[in-house]
Amino acid sequence: MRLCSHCVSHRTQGLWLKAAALLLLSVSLAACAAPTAAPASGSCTLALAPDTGDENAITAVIDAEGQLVVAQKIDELMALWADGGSVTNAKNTPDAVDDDQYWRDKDAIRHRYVRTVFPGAAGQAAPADLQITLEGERATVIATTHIGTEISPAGDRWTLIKQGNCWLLENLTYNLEPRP
Amino acid sequence: MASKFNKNTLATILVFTLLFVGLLAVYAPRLPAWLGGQSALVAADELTYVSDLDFWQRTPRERVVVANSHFDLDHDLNTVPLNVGQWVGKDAPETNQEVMILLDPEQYVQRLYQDPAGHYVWLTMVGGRNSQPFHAPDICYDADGWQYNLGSHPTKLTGGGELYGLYLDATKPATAEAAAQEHIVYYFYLFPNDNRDQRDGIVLFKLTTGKYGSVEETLALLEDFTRQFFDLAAPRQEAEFGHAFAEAAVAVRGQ
Repeated sequence: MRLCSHCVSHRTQGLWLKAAALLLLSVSLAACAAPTAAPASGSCTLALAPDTGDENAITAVIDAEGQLVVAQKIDELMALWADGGSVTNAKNTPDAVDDDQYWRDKDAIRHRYVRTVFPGAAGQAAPADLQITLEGERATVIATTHIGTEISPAGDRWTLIKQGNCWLLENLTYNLEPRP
Repeated sequence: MASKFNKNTLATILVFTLLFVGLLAVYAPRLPAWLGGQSALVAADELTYVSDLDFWQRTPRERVVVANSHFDLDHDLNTVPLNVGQWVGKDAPETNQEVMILLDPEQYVQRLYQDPAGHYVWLTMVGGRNSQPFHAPDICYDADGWQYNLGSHPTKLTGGGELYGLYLDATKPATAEAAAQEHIVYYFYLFPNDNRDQRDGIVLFKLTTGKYGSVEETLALLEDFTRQFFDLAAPRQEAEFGHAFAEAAVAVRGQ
């Protein structure tokens, strides 16, 4: 069977037009879909292996928090936090809550990072001695504060919450070590 | 064969054209921003500002707001009205010269407003073109021995949308010389355009009051006060690329 060159040309032209239309359709669909896609949060922003266990994911989130504080990457840092999260300064009186100071919700946490934590320009912020307690979709982590030259054994208590497959920071309570 | 070719080709071209028109509709409004331009709305309307909780980087609470007074450094902040709604204000210039030396603001206006129920609100507007005048209030309260909790609070505007501010619920314990004090502080920053270049000028809009009832009740009072100066707000993307905001802004102007 022979096809005339005229017909081949038309057929090729048609294919090109259809390919172009398909490409435009794909871009159009992407434009419509993009704004509705929920951004990744918590441990799911850290490119962990899919088979990472809960304890390793929780450790990765807390390690990442310290590294992002040093790098002063505020958007990545805030992506680790759950909506409704909080930071509490226990003021070295762990048994008295009356004097506690609160930063409530993500706007306040962000403000604390930018205006209180970042100006300290920590060269190192790596929590150590993590004691992780898992209770279903919630975890509590006791850690030793290690920011620059400050070392406070069991000075931090983190709570994390699991949303889907992602672990997110829910609260940090610091200055838990009693005043000497 | 020729008619079939024409029919197929025409159908494909029609689909192609429709998709192209659709893409234009989706992306065309964003082209000015992608090309580094300024949104027509912000550039054209001198009473339209960008508000945010911080001036360092954009936060998710950044909003485009329509005000009914000038809150930029091309205008005298003293032109902000003393009588708004039920509130009546009077100028109360800062008398502590150390504040002026420390902050070195381009403009600094302080007012004391009162409503018929006897509530007092201090309005402080600080304008500058660098970061020096903009000490975060919590840092100052901390340095002065206050204890505080911090959060954010939305002010619902009558024309639609919400404008966000940070609030401090601050307490200073009693001393031998002074009784205990309670302050609620509510503040946000205003930029004249969405470039947010400090050299274009920033204005801090800060309210300070005693506590009237609970924190929530006091914030509701400050919300009412804030509403006297701002009519409409929307997230930046929505304000710049949506027609609804432009139409609402025109409607607010017509009131």
